[in-house]
Amino acid sequence: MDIDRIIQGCKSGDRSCQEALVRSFAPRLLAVCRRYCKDFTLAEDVLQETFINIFKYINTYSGSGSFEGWMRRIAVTKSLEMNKRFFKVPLFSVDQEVQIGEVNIPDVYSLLGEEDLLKLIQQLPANQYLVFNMYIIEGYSHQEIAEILNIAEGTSRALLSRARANLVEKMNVFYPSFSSIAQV
Amino acid sequence: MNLSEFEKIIQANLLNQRVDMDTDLFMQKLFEPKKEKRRYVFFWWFSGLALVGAAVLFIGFPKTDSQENIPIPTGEVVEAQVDGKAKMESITSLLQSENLSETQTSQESTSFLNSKPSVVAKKRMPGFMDKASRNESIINQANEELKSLPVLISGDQLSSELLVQRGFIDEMGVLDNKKIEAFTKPKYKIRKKVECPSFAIRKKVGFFIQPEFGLSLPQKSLEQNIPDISPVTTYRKENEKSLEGIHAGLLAGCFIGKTSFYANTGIQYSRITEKLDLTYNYTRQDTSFGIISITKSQSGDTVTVIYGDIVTEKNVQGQKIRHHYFHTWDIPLTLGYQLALGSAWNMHIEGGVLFNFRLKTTGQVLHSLQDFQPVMKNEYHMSLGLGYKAALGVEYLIKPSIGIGMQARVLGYGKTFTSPNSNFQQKYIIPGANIYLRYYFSL
Repeated sequence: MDIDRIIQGCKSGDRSCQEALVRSFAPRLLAVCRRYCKDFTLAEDVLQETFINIFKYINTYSGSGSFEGWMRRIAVTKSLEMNKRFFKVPLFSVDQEVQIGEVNIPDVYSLLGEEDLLKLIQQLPANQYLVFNMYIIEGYSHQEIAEILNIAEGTSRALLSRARANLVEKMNVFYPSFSSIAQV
Repeated sequence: MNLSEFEKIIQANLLNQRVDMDTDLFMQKLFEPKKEKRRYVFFWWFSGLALVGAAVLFIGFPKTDSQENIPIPTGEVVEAQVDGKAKMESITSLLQSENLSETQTSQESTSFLNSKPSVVAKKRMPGFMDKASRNESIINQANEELKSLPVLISGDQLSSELLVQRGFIDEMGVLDNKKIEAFTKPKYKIRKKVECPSFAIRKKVGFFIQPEFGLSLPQKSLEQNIPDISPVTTYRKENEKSLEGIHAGLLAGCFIGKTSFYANTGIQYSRITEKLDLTYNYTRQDTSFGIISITKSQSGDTVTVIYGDIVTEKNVQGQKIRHHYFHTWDIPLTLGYQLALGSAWNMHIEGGVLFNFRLKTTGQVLHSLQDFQPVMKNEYHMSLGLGYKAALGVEYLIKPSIGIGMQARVLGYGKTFTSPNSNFQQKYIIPGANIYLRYYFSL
C-alpha cells in the first residue's frame, strides 16, 4: 500500500489503512518519543496519544511537506506536553553563548551506534539536551524552538552553544586523545 | 572531523532510528474502545435530585392565597366622631320633605373607610314617599349629609336597608335620631395592639440561634516521644510557626427555666495553619548510567564503548516555605450564664466540653533538613477526641430578639494531633475571638 493511499484511507476512517500507518511509522515515532521522555513506558503512552492526534487531525494535512515530518512534529509536541506534566525541565533565561573554537573529533566517534550516540547526548543537562535534540536532530529553527518551549530565541541559541561545549568536554573525557580548543 | 560533521552523523543516525516494538499489541491498545469517563457522576445526580426536590416543594406545596392575603388588622383607631346630631336632624328633615322624590336606589357597594355612602330609599316608603317628587338636588344634598356621617369599623353600609334593618327608620319613614346617635357614637374606643390575656398553663422556653465567625492564635506544643533528638523535630520546633487560625460555627442554645442559665451546642469548624521557612545548603550526588570511556582497537576497526555509573556532585542551596493545615470539626456542649447589663446590653460566660473530629491533615511537612514532603498517615491522621471550651462575651441588642456580640474564647484539645506511631506529639490550646449574632425566640 503506498503512502498516498494510506493517507486517503485514514482520512476516510478506513481501519486497514490506519493499521498500515501504525505498522509503518510506529517504530520510528517511538524513537522520537523515547528521545524526549525519560521513561520508556511514558514514551509508549505518548506514542498512543500521538497516533490518536494523527487520526484526529489527518484531514488538516494538505499534502505540502513530508507526511512523516508532519507526524514527527505531532510526536514532538505531545512528548513535550507529557514532559511538562511529569518532568519539569528548567528553561530559565540564558543569554550568554559559549564560544567553541576549532574541534577535531576523532573518527572513532563516527563508528558509534545509534544507542551509543543517544546515550552520549543524553548525558547533557536536561535543558541543553532538549534544545540540542530539537535543533540538531529534528531540524527546528531557533525561532520555532523558542515558540514551542516559550523561551527567548537568544536563550535557545545560548543553550545550544552550551550543549555543544558540554558535548565536546564529555567526549574528551571518554576518549582523551583528541584536541579541542573550547572556551567556556 | 569537526563538530559540524559529527552533528550531521548524529542527525543521520538518530533521525531514522527505529525502536523494536510489538505493533500488534500497540494497535490493540490504540483501537480498543475507551470507556468514557463519567466525571462527577455523584455531583450531577445529587444536583439534579436537589433541583427536583426543590421544585416539588415549591410547586407541590404552594403558599395559599388565603394565608398570604389575609389582611392583618393594623389596629388603627377609628374614633367615632361625636357631632352627628345636627347632621341627623337635617337628614331627617330632608327625608321627611314632601319634595323628596321617589328614587331608584342603586346600592353602590362602598368600601368601608374610603368611599362615600350612596343614595338611600330603595322601597317606596309609605307616607311621605308617595307624595315625594323627583328632586335631584335634595337627593344630592342628602348624599352629602350622609357622607359626613361617622362610620364604624363594623363595615355596615349606610343605606336605607341598613337604616330600616337596624330600626333607625320606622314604618312611616321617620328617622329615629336617638338610635342613630347611639349607633354612630360608640361609647368605647378601639385601642392599638389589643393584648388578650393568655390562660395557657404551659410556660414558654427561651431559645437562641447563634452563627459566629472568628480568628484565633493557636499555641502549639511539639515534643518528641523518643529519647534521641531528631534534627528534623528540633528544626521544626525552632522554626515552625502557627499562623492565625480561622473558625466558624452555628450554635443553638436553650435557657433553663426562667433562669439566666442556658445550655448550648452546635457545630464549629476550625483551621490551623503551620508555616515553616527552610533554608538549605547541601551537596547532592547524582548517579547516572552512561558512557565512561571509548576505546579503539589497534587495527582501528573495532570501537569499544564502556558504560558505567557516572557520579556527579552538585551544591544545592536555596529557601523553601511550606505550610500544612489541620481541619477540625467540633461539637461543643457548654453551660452558660447570661447577665443583663441595662436594657440593651448582655454579657455571658460559658464553659463545657468539646467533641472534636479532626479531618485529614493537608499540605507539606519537613521530611529532612533539605526537603519537604506531603503529610503522611503515620505522622498525622484523622481522629476523634475530647477537649474543652471556655468563653466570655458581651452583646448588644439591636432588637429585643436580635443581639450582636463579641466573644473571647479558648479551646483546648487534650489529644495529640499526631498519629500513635509518630515519634513526636503536637498539641494545641487555641485562644481566639469571634463575632456572633444571636437570634432569640421562645416556644
